[in-house]
Amino acid sequence: MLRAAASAAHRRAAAGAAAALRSLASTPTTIVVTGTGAVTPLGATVGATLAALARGAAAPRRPAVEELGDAWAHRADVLTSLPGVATVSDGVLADAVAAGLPPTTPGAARGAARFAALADAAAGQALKQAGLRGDRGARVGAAVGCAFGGFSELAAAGAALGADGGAGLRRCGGEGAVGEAGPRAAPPPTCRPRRPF
Amino acid sequence: MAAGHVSIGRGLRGPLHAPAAGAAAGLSAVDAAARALASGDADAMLAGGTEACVGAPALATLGEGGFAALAEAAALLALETAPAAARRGAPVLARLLGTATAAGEAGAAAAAAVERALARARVPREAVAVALSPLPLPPALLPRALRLNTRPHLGDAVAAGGAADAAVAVAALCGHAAAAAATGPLAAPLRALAAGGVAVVVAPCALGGGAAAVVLGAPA
Repeated sequence: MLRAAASAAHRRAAAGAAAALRSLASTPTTIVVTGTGAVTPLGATVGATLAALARGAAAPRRPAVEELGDAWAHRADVLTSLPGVATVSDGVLADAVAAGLPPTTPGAARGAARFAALADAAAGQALKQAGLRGDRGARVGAAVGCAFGGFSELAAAGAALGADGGAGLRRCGGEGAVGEAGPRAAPPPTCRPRRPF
Repeated sequence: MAAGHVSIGRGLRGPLHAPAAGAAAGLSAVDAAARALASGDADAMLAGGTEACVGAPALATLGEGGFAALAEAAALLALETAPAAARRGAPVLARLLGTATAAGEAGAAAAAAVERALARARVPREAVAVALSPLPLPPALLPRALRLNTRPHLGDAVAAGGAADAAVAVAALCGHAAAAAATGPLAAPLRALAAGGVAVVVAPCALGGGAAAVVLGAPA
């Protein structure tokens, strides 16, 4: 009798545990967005970017010859005929920084590459809106994607190194330096862009 | 490495991810962040993308081959587990219902990422009101959803493009006045978001393949 009761209790406990496990497996953690930050060619914040999109504004434009830098001026005819650029002005970046919390370690942003400075401005806004302060840092992480990152910094360094205007800078590590072959030359097959669908 | 810069500058000591999956990198970061939160490794994550590769060499390399204007941008979401946000009394702007990444050719990867993200979100395909993407999406992908292609407006901000679209979707979902009053060519999808529809943001990488997708819903 006792053994039967114990066995039934054990079965119930086991069933309860199994149900709890099932429920854990079937109830994914709910994740919520509590803050957003952005700096884009259309605005210094997410709100400004959304407002510009709502008006149908478009940022892309032809780059001015002087934006290309001296090292590339001889290619201006080609470079300004490509699909164009959409940049963040210094004023917009300053507004983006001002719209967010200041960094807890201000020195970290000093001298940072532009892609990191843009990310930090967006971070300040997102943390401010979420009300997340530095004292919670141990349980807060960062996941920031970046495809090309310091491309421009690397190019500038290459241009600064070479008296020939960065002719030694190789495209995609393959044949044909940009300064020598010119941007109209076929890129190496491994880095030829595929047609967007 | 932008993730490292942000974490040092902001005193963040939780998990770190720095995806480099081309145009899919920003939403891949959101996917990684969602997994870090679900595993209990963090209470909150800053997640998104950044790009500032506008310059002559990038123009020469990427400007060929039918690509759009290169853009500079950064966009990040502050993500938290619902209990962590509730404990702090933080306002919920939107719910991140599901995320996914997929490998392979961009078009197929985009479809696979959307399918997986919707499965994780337990949202049927028909329930998606708006599909946002920095690229025009194939007609067969979420054919009933209104399209919001930001590329003609923002340019190609590569890794930041998908993240910027996600940030815009969040702002519209949580009732930003500009979305409800939109008048331009994007008026229909922006208004649908303001009305609280489910949004899918897809970031395929046409250059190198792969894609990432996230599913966003209005706050409960």
